[in-house]
Amino acid sequence: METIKHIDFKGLDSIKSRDAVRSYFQFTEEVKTVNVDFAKIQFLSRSATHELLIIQNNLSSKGVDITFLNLTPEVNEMLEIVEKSIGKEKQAGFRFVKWLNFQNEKEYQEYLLQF
Amino acid sequence: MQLLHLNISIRRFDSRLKTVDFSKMNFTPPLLAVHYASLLSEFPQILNVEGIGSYLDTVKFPSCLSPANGDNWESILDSYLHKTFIPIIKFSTNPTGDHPSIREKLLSHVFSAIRRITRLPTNYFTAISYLLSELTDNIVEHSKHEFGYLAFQYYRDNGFMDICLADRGLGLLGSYQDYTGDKDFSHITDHRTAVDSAVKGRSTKHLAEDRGFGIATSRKILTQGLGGSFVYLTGNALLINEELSNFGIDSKGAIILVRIPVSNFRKDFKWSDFVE
Repeated sequence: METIKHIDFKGLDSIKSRDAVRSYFQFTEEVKTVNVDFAKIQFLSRSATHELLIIQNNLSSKGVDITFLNLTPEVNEMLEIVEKSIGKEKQAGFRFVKWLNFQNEKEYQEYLLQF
Repeated sequence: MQLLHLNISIRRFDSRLKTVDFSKMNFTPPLLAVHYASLLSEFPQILNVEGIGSYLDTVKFPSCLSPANGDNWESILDSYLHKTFIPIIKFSTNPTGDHPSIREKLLSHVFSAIRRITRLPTNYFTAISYLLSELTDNIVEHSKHEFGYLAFQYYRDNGFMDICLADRGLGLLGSYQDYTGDKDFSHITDHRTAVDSAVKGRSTKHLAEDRGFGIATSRKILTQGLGGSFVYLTGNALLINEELSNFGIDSKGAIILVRIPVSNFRKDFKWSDFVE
């Protein structure tokens, strides 16, 4: 008899963390089909989306049919962006860091005054 | 002069203290609110917390607003929607049982309160939700500490808001040192190298594919997308946007300040333009 698991993220309108995603996929029995219903989800963070795609990939590789249902355009866009970014080469531009050195403590204190 | 105050406060702190007096602090900006709230939580031997004036009392300092305190947090938070700030939020990082979903609901409500107070349009709210989610998830996944802290202040007349996050966990260097997987982080031996590595995407996550997005993309959305500023302090490493400096004194865990302009909203602004 096929075991079908239906996940609907009860009570949530957004998912922001990896562990929140993981908590919904703790199966105590063997499942053959997983339906994940995003009808109530308005926002998925990048981390949560990445975790979801990893879980989807793991389940699929074990022969589990997994389907995402009722995605809003925004949630779908996040899934597409994260999916495209997987395996992409690192882009250096936005990861730029400048190491600053100061002549003395007074100079550093003046620097800190910007906040 | 929040950063200077923070620097002096950390230098002067003595873990043997039994009493702390806040009578000179009529107003506490979010950076100092999360710093002192997390500090007092870590040192329960500080039995006497004196001089809590009306403002600190209103932001629920030092106990914070937290489901862990048994607070009716939803209705309490809703009562702040006409103000320019919310109580200091203390959220659990516990991954078991109901804790993740309670935290999700708490943070959703907090983000929604921030949106309503600042009247953010949807496209900007989504961008800010994105970056705050990345930063709170970093605390949940990496700090190895029981709680994270969040504070918010809207400076309406100056046209910007400050949102600050803190934890008193491992910090970035501790996370790299705690790592037990296949990647080699043996060259990361000080706080500034740890921050530099994190920005460049060297992640401690035990994932086959992970490029450590949290800090770099959060910074990009904030500085390039929203025109804001990103401040990140861990150990003695202080990152302000792209500039990394030696703070001169070690701060435990991590403290983050995101400063976001709340004006000149563009209808064509899309958060996804700043995400790789």
